[in-house]
Amino acid sequence: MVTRVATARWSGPATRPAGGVVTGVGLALPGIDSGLELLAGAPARPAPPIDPAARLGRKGLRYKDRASVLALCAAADALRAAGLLGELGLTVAGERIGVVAATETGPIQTVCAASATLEEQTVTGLSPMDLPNASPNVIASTIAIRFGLRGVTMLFTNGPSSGLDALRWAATLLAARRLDHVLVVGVEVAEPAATDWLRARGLLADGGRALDGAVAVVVEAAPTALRRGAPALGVIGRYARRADAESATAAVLADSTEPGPPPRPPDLILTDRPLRANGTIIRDVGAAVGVAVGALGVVQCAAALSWLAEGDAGPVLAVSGPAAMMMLPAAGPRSAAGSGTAVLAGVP
Amino acid sequence: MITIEGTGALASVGRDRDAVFDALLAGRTGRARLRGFPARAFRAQHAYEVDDRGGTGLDRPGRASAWLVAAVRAALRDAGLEPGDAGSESAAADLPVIVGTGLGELRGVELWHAGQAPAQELDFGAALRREFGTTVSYTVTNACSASLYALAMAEDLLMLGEHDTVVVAGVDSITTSMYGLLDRVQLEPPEALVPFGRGRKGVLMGEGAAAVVLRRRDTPGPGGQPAPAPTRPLARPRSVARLRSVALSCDARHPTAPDAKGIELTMRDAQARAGLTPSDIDVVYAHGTGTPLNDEAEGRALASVFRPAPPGPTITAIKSMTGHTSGGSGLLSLVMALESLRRGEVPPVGGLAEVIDEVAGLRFAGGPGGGETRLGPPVAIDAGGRPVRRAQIDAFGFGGVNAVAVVEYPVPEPAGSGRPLPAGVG
Repeated sequence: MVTRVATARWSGPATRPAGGVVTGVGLALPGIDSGLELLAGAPARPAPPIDPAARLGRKGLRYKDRASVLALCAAADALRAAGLLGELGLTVAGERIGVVAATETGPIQTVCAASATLEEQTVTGLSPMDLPNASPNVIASTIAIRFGLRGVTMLFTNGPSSGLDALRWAATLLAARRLDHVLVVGVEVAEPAATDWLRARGLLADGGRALDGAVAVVVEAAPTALRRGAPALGVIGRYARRADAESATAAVLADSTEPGPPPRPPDLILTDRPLRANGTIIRDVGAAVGVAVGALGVVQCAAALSWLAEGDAGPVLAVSGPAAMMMLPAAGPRSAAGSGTAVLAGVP
Repeated sequence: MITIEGTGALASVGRDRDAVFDALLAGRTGRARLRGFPARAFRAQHAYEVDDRGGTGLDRPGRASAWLVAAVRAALRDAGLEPGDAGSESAAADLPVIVGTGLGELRGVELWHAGQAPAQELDFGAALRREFGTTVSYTVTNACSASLYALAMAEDLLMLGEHDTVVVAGVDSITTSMYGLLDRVQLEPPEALVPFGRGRKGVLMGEGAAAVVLRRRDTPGPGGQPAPAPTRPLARPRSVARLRSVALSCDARHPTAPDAKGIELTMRDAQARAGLTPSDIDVVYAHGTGTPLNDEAEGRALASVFRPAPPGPTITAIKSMTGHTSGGSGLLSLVMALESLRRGEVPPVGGLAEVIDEVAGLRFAGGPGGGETRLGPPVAIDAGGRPVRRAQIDAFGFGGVNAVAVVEYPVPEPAGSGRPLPAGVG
């Protein structure tokens, strides 16, 4: 379904834009209909797994791996919400739209199943239709092919920072003028081999839930969004990768050497780590969707956009693995009084 | 201007850059019977594997990580940046490393699933952290153009002024799933990989790694910030080449088949970004996978771009000797292309007795009709009267992900005021 978390028109960033503006969101998360539900801090309502055929129609889904079709569901909604995809197809040149995807578990079921089939039945037991799915970037290229997105197409399998990394690279590709619009997609699957692997890696506790879903957002350069009259939902702010979450967070919150007023501290922190923060709300979106690994940063982005859509909401800090990123309001007056300085310290 | 200050590589044919290039020049192949996989499971029986398992039929996870670390270490040393010993404080710890790969450490997932190894990371961040103290690394999993995609990302970081030095690498080890599925779809199992050869049967996978150290040495591109002040020693002059451009695109047409038009547009984009034309290119390292579809599509694109500019570049395709090293192959080609520019010699395309019609009239190193492996006279001369040569490197992947890079050696001497030469000055 299309998630319209805000309809405000872009009128200039409230703080220095480090990256692009987000102009569309698409969710394919079981039991979750809006980004705000990601902030509940509790499991989503019980719901059946996402049914891609029900959302996209059956055509074109045959032989596709689950990660690709979940990603397609979220991508379609994000492109529509951003006004890049209409009834007659793309509304801008496909050459200027790229795909940056992030996953950890995407390829695992295909690879394990094919490898086991080889062992038991030799090569004759394999389906030739699985060939594209043995290459993890099938997720990004499937989206590119379905919607005719002919710009840069790439996939990060970079561990728990992948989602925020993908958002950062979207901003970098825009700044380098390789693209005008970037579809960022985070996807994870709860297929048997994938959840076994997450458990074996210590990323999923026994009895824990793994995400089986996807989130997509469209990021554009601010002038592009303005020219198109696209809804501006938030701005990608400062990003840092460091040795660990604490140092990345400190780097993002550090006093800026940039000109202008100092950045406003976050009102909300999204993290899956135990943190202490004075006067700042802390949420783990994983409580709602399950363990999200490489998709976490993109899920956090969707949650942040919902928060930012609420009146005078202040910036959001997302922390995912050893990466941290600020997400800023896209428009509207800044609050005179922020929520105070967030004091962060890891709790052992 | 972005310079390439250090390079490193290894593959089935050699354990370091010079050994690989010497083997390629000599036409030696890394092709051998399958070493680590149960041969009974496949029709195809050959691959171009790195022989480091310690015995036939044995396998272990983490091989790709080990090659990656070796290639990065060699590139850092070549650039004059001493990486230090594993675990010690390394001068390279704060350099971002962007790794392009087709399959990452998915072979480790297969071994874990078969109960033969514990579950380990899919990405290369942990290996780089252990070895060099690297805090910022990106694993870009992008099929067979991955390492040139990584190169473009580094180019962008440097041109935007976010870093002064970036390490780019490419690496792949073979998974049974990819080897098996390729085996499943090819009509007849190939015994060898013969790029652009008439009667070629298809692709065989190979293994290896390559790395380069990139650096920003002058003013920024559009939208970018000035280069940060250098904080590290500059490389020895021998190593310095220039990265002229990297073009990226996606065909958005077919899950596995390439598109000649998309490939041609990417080649033209790479040349245009460099401010060059087809006649400015001395040598092409083609993607050349030996599959009917790739070689037809790439061959048509090469012909369309270079036939109107005779005599055209010398073309080679090293997968005839290294096998298809997947996501790492683009950067492996690039490192070898730089050796060609330095030494004036181009490895022959192995086994190329007769070329396909699509590439008729193009000049293949070691190809039919006495294909020269010595480079001809350079097409450009710099302000100091030195010859300057350029190479184009192709890499294309499943999903139609295309990447083409252009490099130049030596770095042209500036004319007059310390500014780089206008592109194409001869």
